[in-house]
Amino acid sequence: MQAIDDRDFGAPRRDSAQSVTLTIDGMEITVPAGTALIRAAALAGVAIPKLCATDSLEPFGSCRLCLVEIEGRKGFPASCTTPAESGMKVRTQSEALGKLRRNVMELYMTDHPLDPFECKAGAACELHRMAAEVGLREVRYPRGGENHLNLKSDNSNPYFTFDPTRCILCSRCVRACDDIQGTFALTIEGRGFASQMTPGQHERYLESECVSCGACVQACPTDALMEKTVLERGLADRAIVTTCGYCGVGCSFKAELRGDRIVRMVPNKNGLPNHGHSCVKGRFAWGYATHPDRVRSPMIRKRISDPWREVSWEEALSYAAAELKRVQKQYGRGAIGGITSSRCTNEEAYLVQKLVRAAFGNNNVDTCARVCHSPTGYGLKTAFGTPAGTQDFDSINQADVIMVIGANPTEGHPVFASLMKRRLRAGARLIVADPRAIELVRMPHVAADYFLQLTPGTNVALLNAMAHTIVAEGLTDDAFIAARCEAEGYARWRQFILEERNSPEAAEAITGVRADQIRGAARLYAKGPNSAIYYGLGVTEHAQGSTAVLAMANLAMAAGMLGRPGVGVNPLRGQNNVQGSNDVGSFPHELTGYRHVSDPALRAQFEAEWGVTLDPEPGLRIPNMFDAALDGSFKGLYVEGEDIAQSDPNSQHVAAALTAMEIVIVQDIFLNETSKYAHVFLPGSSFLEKNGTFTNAERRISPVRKVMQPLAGKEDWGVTCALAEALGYPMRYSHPAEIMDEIARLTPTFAGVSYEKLDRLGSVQWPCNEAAPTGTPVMHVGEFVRGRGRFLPTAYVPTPEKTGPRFPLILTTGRILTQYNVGTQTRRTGNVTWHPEDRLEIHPHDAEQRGVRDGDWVEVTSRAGAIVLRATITDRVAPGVVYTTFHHPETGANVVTTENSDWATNCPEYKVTVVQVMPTSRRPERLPAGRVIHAAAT
Amino acid sequence: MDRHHLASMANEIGEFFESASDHDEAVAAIAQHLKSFWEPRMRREIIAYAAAGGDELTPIVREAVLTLAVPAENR
Repeated sequence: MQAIDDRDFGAPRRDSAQSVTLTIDGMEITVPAGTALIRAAALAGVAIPKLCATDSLEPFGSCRLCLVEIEGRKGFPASCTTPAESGMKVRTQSEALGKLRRNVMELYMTDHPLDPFECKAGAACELHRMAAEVGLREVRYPRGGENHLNLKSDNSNPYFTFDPTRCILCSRCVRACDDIQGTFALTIEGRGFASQMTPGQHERYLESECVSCGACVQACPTDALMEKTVLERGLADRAIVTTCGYCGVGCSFKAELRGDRIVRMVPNKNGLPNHGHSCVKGRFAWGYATHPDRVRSPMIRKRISDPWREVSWEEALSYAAAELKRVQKQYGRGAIGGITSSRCTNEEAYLVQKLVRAAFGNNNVDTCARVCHSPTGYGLKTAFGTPAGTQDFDSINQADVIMVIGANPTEGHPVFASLMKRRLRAGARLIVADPRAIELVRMPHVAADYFLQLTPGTNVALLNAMAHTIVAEGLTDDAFIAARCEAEGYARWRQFILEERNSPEAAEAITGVRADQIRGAARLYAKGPNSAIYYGLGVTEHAQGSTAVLAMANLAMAAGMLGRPGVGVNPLRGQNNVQGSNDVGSFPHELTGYRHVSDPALRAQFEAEWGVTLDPEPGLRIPNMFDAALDGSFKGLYVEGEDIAQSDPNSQHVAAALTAMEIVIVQDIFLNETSKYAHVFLPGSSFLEKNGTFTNAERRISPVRKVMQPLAGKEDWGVTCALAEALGYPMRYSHPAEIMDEIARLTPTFAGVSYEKLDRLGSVQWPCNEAAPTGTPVMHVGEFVRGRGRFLPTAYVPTPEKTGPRFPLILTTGRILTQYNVGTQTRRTGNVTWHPEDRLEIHPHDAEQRGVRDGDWVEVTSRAGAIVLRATITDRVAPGVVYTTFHHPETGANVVTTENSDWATNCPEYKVTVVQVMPTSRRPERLPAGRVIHAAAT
Repeated sequence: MDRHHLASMANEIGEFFESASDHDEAVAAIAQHLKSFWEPRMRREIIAYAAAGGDELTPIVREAVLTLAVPAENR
């Protein structure tokens, strides 16, 4: 069932430079060439009856309801499969057409409940609506014949039901699964009257390959596939457009409500990041927002060993402010700091950093990007001048070669992965560089041309060898380099990259990838013509994370793969607003728009706006805060929407640091690991309870709109304002729109952003200013933001984490589709149906050597600690490499990872830990505070 | 703050710039990186450590750190 307020044009939009003019029911209409008649008619205001056609799917022509008459042509062609042509004269209504349509509908209704009252989709049921539209008043055929009305429903999926008695075999679900999602989990099984839609090999939904994206549910024109929440709560009566609070794809959704209760989330077909598609998390896993675990009242306690005491907002805020002031008075202005949240809005992150800089009087503010994409910030800013992805998501539709390195889009960024898979099915070539055979390496209708299964920690060597090949074989884009890049830097880099140490043969010894494979991939990338790089935390969360980002920038510049659609260097951001929280000044050395605090002219602008004098020195990063806490110079922390005790490295160290602080204020929707060390708990609001904006991985600023009232009475931005007021620094706004106006006044790249514009355009991509009033889909066109692109030599430096007799295996980590990060949200939803535990993937050879059988409990030991989980034996990982996810705290997956970090940004090296794995009789235990799971946060 | 940890972080910064530039440029780049990204108390610690010998610092990092000790007007 499509969104309640969507209009269905019957066939997809066609983009063409040519247009055609035709007449439909006497009305002249001009449409792009290739537009189906049914769409042309809809654009002219004429709704042709239809069932198998919908504008999200390519025409299929099976239902025979959308028949029309075309002057000069015989018969009754289907308007969904017939393209409009110049001069056509089309009739959509005639006596003959009416009779044909009624006959078709009549046959459908012989095998379907006649009474609309029985239909769970009610007024939204397209079948009953079409029956009414074509004037079907009775069914002449007897009801007692053979039919499908006794088939059993499949209720196995936690979120939707499949009732085959209501299925009309229009194949919209099958086509949605194939064409939109790209999973190919559904099929029409059998022939003729025996035909049935079925998941997998006649399995139930839950046991099939279905990934529960919900595309089939949305495509279904009847009540055969229905959300369980609709069955429980009834049809919605209104919809509010908002933005998903999960990953960095930032899908646009319509929250459909009945009264003030959410009925369902439907992906917005006008949403530019997702074009009406979604994943299992965004569409279905929103129940955590009203989970009983939500904290609804502020709480305080003097010591962390005391029980929490519920208090009023006034008491909590006044206690927090008094303690922060006391600590500053006793230990100095720099003794406190704050952490902004990448799960909160831009406006909220902006206010937290403003609070720290203006009210705390220092720059001790940081954000969770520290532990995920901070190397992206450093690397891309150094090379190109701005720390953000170069393209919009739709750019991939023009890519000829796609290189995915250190990312697993089908699990981590599933909606973008669907777009990617569609492009690959259309013929784009694929290079995957990953220690593990991710799904993209081989799946239905997609196979990587090159799968470079490198040893964890060797990205830089691989990227350098690819660049070496491109330079050595004369595949560089010399015109691009001459016109766009620094000549001296290029000459120096060219000399460096041609050194023998960067050859594919040298890289083979380091990476384990055959030299000929590296050469082949490099040639494919260089020859494009359009080649695009997409990368994730498998690049950044390394000791050489920033170097690897610089190496990708070198590669793209050398091959001229920047500054136009279809190319680029694109980080796949983990959290919904990790891009935005960085944009609005969450790093300790930068004000909004990535401008360094040391710039006196810049500070003067902020000082005039904020009415205070600002500190010109960079503040402490999150790990520095912990170090300073342990040396006694950092005593207070305000943490908004971030569970540092769970997500940051070296959890014993974090726990000790938090324990050493005298005032820890946690603002979150649930009590979490960090709140175990907190003295004040301020209840936060979920993305459904507030107004604001999120910025996704393509720099797209999208509106977040309040769908329900905040359970604890305040939106997060309001809590920060109230804390500032209590500290004696009033920050008064009546609506987040005013906060965005302030950001726009202070930030050249946001100068043209306003809520009015977001309401009008739906979303905009920064830079959005006078030069680009509707935003910038592709960056660095004609010139880099920094002027000329900067090549830098990127020598490979091995990680200090080395295998040996004691720890012979390398552990690396990743995500799974149904869970999100440490599972705080998704473990409080129906998504617990899938992935009930984290497992250790181990190669058959390594398992056999250790006597480990599939499903056995094993102990994973590193120099940092030991954890216990069950083994899955698979050749997805190479010999010598083991892999696990980190969604369940009981597993404690990251207890074993180490303190190593990126040289430039201190981003932890989560992706490389040397370990030993042995069978064990131990079982996992919930570890005491401070010895709990920590994980890559995004 | 833990000087061993600070020295280790500084050396990793030095390792990158040393391989990416000539000596003088690398010294300047290391110093600039520390100035841009390290909070003053961290810089004070590493400067004091370098001034006291800084055994765990690589020569180029020690050289770069010591340039930070010189007042800006004398640089």
